[in-house]
Amino acid sequence: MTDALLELKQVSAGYGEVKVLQNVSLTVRRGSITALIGANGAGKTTLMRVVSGLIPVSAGTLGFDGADITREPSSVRVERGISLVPEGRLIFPEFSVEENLKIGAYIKRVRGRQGELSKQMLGLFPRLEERRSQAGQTLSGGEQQMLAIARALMAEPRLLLLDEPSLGLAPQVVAQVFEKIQEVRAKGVTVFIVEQDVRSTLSFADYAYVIENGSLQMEGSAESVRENPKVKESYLGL
Amino acid sequence: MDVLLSGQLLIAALVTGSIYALVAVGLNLIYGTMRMLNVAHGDLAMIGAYVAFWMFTLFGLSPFLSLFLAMALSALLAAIFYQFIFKRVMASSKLLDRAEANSLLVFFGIAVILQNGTAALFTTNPRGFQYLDQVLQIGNAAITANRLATLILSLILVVAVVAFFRFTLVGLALRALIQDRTASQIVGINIERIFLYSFMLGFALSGLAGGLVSMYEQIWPFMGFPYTIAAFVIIILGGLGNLFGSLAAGMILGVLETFGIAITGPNFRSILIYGVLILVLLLRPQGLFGGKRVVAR
Repeated sequence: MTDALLELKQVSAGYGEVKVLQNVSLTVRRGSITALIGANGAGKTTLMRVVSGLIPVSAGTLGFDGADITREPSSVRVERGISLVPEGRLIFPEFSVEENLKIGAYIKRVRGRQGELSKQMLGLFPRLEERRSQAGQTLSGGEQQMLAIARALMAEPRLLLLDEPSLGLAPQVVAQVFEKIQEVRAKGVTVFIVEQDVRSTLSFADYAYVIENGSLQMEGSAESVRENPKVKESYLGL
Repeated sequence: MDVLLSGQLLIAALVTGSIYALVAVGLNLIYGTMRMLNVAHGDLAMIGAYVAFWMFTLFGLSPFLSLFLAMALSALLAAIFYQFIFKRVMASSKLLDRAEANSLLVFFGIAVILQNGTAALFTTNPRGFQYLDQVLQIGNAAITANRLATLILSLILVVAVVAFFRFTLVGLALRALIQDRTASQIVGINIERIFLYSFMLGFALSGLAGGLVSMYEQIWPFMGFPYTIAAFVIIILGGLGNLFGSLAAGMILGVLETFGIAITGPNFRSILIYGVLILVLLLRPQGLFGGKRVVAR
């Protein structure tokens, strides 16, 4: 039993001819909040999509909890315990909050406990409780983000992937979202997060990777990355 | 004018409408989940009609039993087409971008093969059989027993289809897939399996409708095309990807067509149907029901 929950080895991937990721190797440790930071177009979203199985790798391997998941489709990975909160939230616009939660527990592992899990989520996100019968598309951006996180948690993931959860949200709402992420980790869920709000993210993450032009440039404890002069200049505007 | 108010037409309209609803909901399901335009959809009804005809003629099997056979055969054809043709149409992301156009061509080919294959096997002679053709009197309306049975059965089926989409997990997954393919993958839906299910269910409903129609109408190898056209008009009327909308729109088109023909004449059928299509496209391209969305992504 190793410390690593997710392990990428020499992963390359892209869209058709366009290679976005090149030889990316990284590890997400059990119980950690691991952050991936980088500029727009550096390959962060692609990496999240590769891990969740939406994009196939062209080279390299993906390991999850000791198993090789490189060739597994997304449905099997969710079953194993990898859930994604995608960029742009991608909640189901015509489904009510309740239906969005229900479909979040589609996989076999949790299917029987849909009702119980929904209740838990509505407890964790009281705002959604107020909106439970409203269609997803009528929610505000912050509420949609909460719903996307809740939907992912419905599958009781062991690894929660978060892709730009603060995008387009008001600062107070961002603070709430980050608070929820830390609550989730406190419950034992490992978190792998891509975030443009580098300063806040590095304040609650344990470990961080910096990606540029599709390959990793730097890694270390969140603290050491935060203190790095290059990071300060490029991402923290200091 | 008496005819219009007699109730006779209303029953006829409901019979046509409920059949339309069954055919169209399957077309919309396949379009909604996969963005594929099944121009062979009505031809599955033709296959179902021939199944019912031959089962009755050769073995005296009641159409109500052979309906299951018609559904099973249609679903089997769906599974074969999906596994061997349409999986390839969607095999890569490049092909996926063109799946809508490519599927149209493939389905067109399938339509030609089904129609002409049936013609080659069974000739193009119109055929029919007599089953439950005694006339029943309901109030001042007269209806043959087979039409009444068709009406009752297809209304039950429409309700069953609604319940399936509304209350089952697969139904929920189908509706999720219509809204957003990526999001469906994210929650762990095996989308290939759901594609297969929508193919099979869509084809089966069309085959079933054909089996019902064969009881009271003459059948021939090219009977499917009018159903395909009607179904396309209906899914635009009810909203692309809107399953409940297409059930309602099927009934609406049945009423418009039946009363329209009664007022004008049978030669006007196509004009009426295309007229409805053009009006809807001009006035409410997103369909009669629901929001602003024309087509989900």
